[in-house]
Amino acid sequence: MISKFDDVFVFPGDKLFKLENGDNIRIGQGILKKGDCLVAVKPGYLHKDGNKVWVETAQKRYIPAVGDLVIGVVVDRSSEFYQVDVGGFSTALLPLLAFEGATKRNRPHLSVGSAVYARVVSVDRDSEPQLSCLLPGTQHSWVTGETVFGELKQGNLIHCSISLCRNILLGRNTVFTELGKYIPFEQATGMNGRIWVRSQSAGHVVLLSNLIICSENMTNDQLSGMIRSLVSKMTTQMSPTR
Amino acid sequence: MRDEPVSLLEKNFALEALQADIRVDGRKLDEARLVNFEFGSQYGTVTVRLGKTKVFSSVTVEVVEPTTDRPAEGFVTFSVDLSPMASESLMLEYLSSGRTSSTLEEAAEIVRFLQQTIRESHAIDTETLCIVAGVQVWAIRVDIHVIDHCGNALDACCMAALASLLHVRRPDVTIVGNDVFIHGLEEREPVPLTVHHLPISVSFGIFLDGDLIAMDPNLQEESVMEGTLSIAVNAHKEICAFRKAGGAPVETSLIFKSASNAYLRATEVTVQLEKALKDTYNRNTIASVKPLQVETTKKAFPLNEQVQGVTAVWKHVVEQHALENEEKREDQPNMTSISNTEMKVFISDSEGSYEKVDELSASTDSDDETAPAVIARPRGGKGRPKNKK
Repeated sequence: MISKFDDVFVFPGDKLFKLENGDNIRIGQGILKKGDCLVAVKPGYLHKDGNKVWVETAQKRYIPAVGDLVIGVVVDRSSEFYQVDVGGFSTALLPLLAFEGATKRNRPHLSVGSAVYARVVSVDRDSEPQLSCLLPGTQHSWVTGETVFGELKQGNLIHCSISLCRNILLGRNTVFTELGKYIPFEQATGMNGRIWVRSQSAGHVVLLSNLIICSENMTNDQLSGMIRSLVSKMTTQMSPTR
Repeated sequence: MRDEPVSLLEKNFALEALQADIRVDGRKLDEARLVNFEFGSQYGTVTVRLGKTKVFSSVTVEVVEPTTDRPAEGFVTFSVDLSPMASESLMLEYLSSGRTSSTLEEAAEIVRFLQQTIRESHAIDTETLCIVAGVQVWAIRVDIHVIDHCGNALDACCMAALASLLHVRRPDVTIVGNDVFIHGLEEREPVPLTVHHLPISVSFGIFLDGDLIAMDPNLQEESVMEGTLSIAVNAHKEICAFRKAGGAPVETSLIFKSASNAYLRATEVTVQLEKALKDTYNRNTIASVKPLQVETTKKAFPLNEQVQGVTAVWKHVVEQHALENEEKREDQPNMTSISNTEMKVFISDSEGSYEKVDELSASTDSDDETAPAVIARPRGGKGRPKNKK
């Protein structure tokens, strides 16, 4: 049984702790409930955030979960759905009308190969996961181009590990705040190991993409130092040309 | 690795970046990815990494009968396996075409290019692989497996094939009269193959209707390129093979420019390859390298019927080529006598036969076997075994 939580490495089969009556715990990936015990089923670091418990593994395969923000690539379209690859066990379905303010006459047309930023709304083990680009509580129509979700245009898509995405979203990896001090850019981080970045020029996007990938195996201090030195080098190189 | 379908914006970005004189991974247009050679514990095994592309190659050496039309030439064959595990686009291609790995178009193209660069440019001379003309020759097979396909598998395969041919050793052979001795690996130092020069393949991607050429394209760039240009160059500035696939037209000046870029890159890789080879020998002296299992199962060759036919051919060949010196002509009666008596091959693994070999004065090519020469010099007499007795 484990008393301390963070940075404990667990192996499959490790008993984590006993559940008491009245415990309110949400279990995430890599953990199963066996009898009145929680047991790890994947090797990795144990994490706890509030009442959520999960095991952080180095896996690349994305397992869709309700509420996740993902970046998908349209692989096919039918009369009612777009089939979207999110890197999971099967393609996800995105209804044609699941965009803010979309009607049968007036809706976005995505072509095969387009990238979309969407949210997972339902997951079932016997059917394909469902995506949606709707965000309740917003007034922006998809036409204005100001919606949070929807098609991603221009910029570059980075493929990285799921743990990097999770660390960025949880704020443990500060690569974006560090980069934002020097370069203006837009980004969208999907929980499925994809990050979209857009900036003023191709050179900037290349720099951003490579720094983001590098940030996975660095501490935040190392990161800020590296970014500072690289950006200064880059600006001195790029300023005469622009 | 499961790779995801390349989205349109990635494709557009690859082109956008190229137009801005930069590559998606931060390289310059004429800059290749880092290359890394990692030799295995067995002779002839090597893992080559070109960026994230990873290729494994191994070499098998075998004693076989030559073909009747070329009785004095050995064999060098290549096989390339692009497994469906290497990338998902390959996996999809398998599923849609229902083919097996080596019949895949890309694999066949790589094999063809390997034959051009290594065999047809005489980097490995098939005549040096002859043991006894018309009777037995060495067959060398290079098996290449693409483990991770992250762009430009052709260059990686070419480097891997070359590296493993440099690393491999074949057992030493002695010929005394009618007897051929294939020495066990514990008994005699195995001999490196004669590699005359090192053709390094350098590929370029052709973009934007042939206006733009970039060295060593990665997978994201390969998805938007209109064709490839592969040039195999050696350190003597000789172009050993040239291949242009895809329909995009390219200006001659661009081709010349990329050829000189290819030469610069080839010299770089050659230096690195030689250094890597030297390092393995320093770290892992020849004796401690685990020897390759060589198939020497044939104890005696079934010569009677076949060899008589072969001898006729051999005579014919001798007449035709009008061999350079008398020495070889002396071989000829020797050959006929082989056909009459049963030829024996001793595989001297055991201690007993070892003594016998020691007394032998004749040896084929043991002059510089101990030196781990990276490029063995071509020997006289076209490498045909000479009988000094």
